Amino acid sequence: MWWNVTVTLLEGFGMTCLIFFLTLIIALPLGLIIAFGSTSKFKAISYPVKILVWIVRGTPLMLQILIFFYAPGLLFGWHGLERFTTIIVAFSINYACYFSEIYRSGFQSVPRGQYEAGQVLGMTRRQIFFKVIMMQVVRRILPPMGNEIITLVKDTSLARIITVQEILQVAFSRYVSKGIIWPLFYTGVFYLLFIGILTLLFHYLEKRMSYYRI
Amino acid sequence: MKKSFAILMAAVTVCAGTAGLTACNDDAIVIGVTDYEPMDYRDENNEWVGFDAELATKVFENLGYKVKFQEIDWETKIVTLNAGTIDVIWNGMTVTDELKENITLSEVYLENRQYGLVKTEYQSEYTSIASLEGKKVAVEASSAAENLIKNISCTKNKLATQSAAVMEVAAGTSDIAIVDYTMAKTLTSEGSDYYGTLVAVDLGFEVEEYAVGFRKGDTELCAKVNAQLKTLTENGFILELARKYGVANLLKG
Repeated sequence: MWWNVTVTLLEGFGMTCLIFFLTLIIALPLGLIIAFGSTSKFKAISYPVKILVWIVRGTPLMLQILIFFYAPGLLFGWHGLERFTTIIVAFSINYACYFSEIYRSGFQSVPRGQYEAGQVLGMTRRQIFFKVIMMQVVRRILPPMGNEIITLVKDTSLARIITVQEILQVAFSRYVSKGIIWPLFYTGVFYLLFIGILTLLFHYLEKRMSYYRI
Repeated sequence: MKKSFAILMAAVTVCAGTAGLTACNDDAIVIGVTDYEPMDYRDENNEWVGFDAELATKVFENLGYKVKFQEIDWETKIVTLNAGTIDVIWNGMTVTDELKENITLSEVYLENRQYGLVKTEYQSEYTSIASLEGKKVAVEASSAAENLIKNISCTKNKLATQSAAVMEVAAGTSDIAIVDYTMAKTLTSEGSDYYGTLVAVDLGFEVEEYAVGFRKGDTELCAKVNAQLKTLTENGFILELARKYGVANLLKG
């Protein structure tokens, strides 16, 4: 029984991981683009981007998923995105907006003097960005990024609202609905293990990055 | 001064006493419901109304209990009942073998059927259960409908509520939703957003029986409720209530 449940839940956990990694792969670079957009000197770029960030951070992710999935059909009669694609799109945009604010805080926290020091040493703008600024930014944003990424692991459970078979949905539909409750709580172990590994990974990265302390 | 203080103290004691007493008598039966028109739903004052809500209130009033309505997650209803969060499930609940095994059930008080809800333009495609084959079918998870389509080869989209299943059809993300007759009727009548766009189709599903659920072994309360249901059928209360909520053709016999 215990083994069967573990195997079944692992199937759902596979979906959970897939949502997690795909979102991360898309949202990490997308967030950087949004961060550049919102700090742009051109108001025609920075204002729309800031409004986007406000809307995405100002509404629940669950609502965003429902809108992405149902609104095209309900409002325009279009054939919208598939369930899984909807989840990846909604999660990526949502997380990219949160990441963008973390990136922004990172860039703005590097003192002007660091740029000037690079110039004095005769470095090009490119060299200054990659050799002086970037690593300091990465070091500074690691803890808040870790926080957000850990939240992402747990937010994947929202996918069940449009019946994507992630681990909680599997626990509900295969066990809880038949009156077997413990697998629901057992799903917590999967989340805990996954987040435990992430926590260790972030500790390790922070240690390695301490080299760039100023 | 002393006298008025004494009177004040006496008044406080009496007040406290009565408050305590009412608290003791506040033996409210907690009824587990979901938002499911016309059986249990909230009116404009946010009060629970509906055929089941009014019937339950009447039955327990006659038995000398107060009632409280508690919205539950339908998928975990048995757990919620056994955990003691609610005392009774009274929410257009279809009798299944699984329920018979796990909880105590009252006599059947209504008979329901499952209907399909489809976009009006595709109405002619759906004439029998076989026409579901290869289609995208939306149902409420753990509902009678899910059980009915178990062996049909179609894409099964299992939503958290019947209303979410119906929204799938309106959005075109599913072809057909299988819901209770009462639900199908309410959602296709005037005043609903789906009026004119969605239509109810009879696919010929078998009759289902509605009963009230109690914790397993709570046979005493069950027997009392059964007796009340009998009385209220005989004196015409149930028929009148069924007419009020448009479910008269679901009454037994």
